[in-house]
Amino acid sequence: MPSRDFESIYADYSRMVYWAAYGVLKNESDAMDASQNVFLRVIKHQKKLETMEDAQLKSWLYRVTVNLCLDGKRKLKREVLADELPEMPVSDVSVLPEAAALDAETREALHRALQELPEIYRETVMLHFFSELRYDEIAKLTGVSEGTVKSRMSRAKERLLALLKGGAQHG
Amino acid sequence: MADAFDALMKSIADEADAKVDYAAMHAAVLQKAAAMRRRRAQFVRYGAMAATLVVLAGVGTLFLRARGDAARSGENAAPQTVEFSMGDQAVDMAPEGAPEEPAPGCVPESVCPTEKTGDAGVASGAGASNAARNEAGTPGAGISGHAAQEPLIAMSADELVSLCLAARTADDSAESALASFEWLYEPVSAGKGYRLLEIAADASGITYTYNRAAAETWNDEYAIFIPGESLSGTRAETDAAGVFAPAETDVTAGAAGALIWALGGGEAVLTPGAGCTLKEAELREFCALRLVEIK
Repeated sequence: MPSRDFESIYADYSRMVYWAAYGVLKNESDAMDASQNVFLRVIKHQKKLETMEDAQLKSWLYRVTVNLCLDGKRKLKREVLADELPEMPVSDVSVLPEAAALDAETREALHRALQELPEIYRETVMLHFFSELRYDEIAKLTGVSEGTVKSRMSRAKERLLALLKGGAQHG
Repeated sequence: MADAFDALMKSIADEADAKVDYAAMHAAVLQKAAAMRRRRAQFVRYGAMAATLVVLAGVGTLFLRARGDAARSGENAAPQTVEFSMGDQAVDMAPEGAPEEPAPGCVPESVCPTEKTGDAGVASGAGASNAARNEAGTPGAGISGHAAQEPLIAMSADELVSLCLAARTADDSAESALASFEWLYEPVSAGKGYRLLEIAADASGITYTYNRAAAETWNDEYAIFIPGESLSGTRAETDAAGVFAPAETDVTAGAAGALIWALGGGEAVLTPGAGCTLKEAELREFCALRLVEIK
């Protein structure tokens, strides 16, 4: 039986919780607030959580995060205006050599493309790359098979590339 | 290509993540937790004081009422006698050959209930409140197989916690199952919460459909889906999300969306009843389920 305290739970899962919240709320400060509330729940239920297996704990955290976010979202009933990921630092681009500048452009375009993905693909991409979850973990958390996660990821990549190409053509 | 793409996505994610101030979030969490502890301590302190005052007031009221009734019964018996005493009254009023008078310490009949059992009219205090709850919550608002038992309905978050914990620790007892289901309901007279519309189950899981009381309208419909996998065996029992879930094979869906749960002590049926509501906030807190909004 694993035994962990709040600090270790926070260290191991704060990234996952934050980006899971961000995936639902699409807003930095709301995601920050929601993550804080999740960890307040962790403190409240610490005794139960400290002996949980990793997978179980991860599942608990994810579900609490998503539920809190959906709850908060509905309560606030407000339009989320800033439906985009944090801006990339501009200063980096200005000092980059040409090749790197091209790379920065691609990154920015990819960023925008990510926002245009359908929710189902976006969730998978966010959980894998931002929350750093494996495919099997995503499958468990979202209640689908690992094969479905893989196919969603594959389609997400296809769509991202298509969006990038479309953007390049328009640009 | 795929590797390059993955690497690019990963670096974008890492870069975005580097901008998140986890230290500040950590500090804020600890600060909020400390504030919550303080509020709880204050609640306990002042709550205890308030409870003491209520008890004292109650005792005082009972004492005064008992004295008043004793005085009134004395007045009825001998209104014109100022220096009236129980002994005098007994001697003066008792007809010859009458049976022995009651002991002086007896409370007058007007204070004593005539029947101690089987009379709903004499229910008072918590009993009355329970009766009101049960009346509002039944029939059809609980597990029909346990109609004879007193329903356990959580009316506060603390009560809910204790019921859930009891349900999770008391293994297969029918009472524990009762506790775990009853908290889904709250009498509609409470005027808040969520009205349970339908419970449906299939191989993939169980869906509770409900709508919420927003400004006295019931126009939003939601559903909570419990995946089948979380209903199965030991995993459900060790699940800290708060759901008492028997083995998947023990759950079958009956007619009209009713769920039939095979319990240790027999069979129980959970039937959503009219006029019952589901408290979503509490459900969310203690049972981390997936919420699906029905468009």
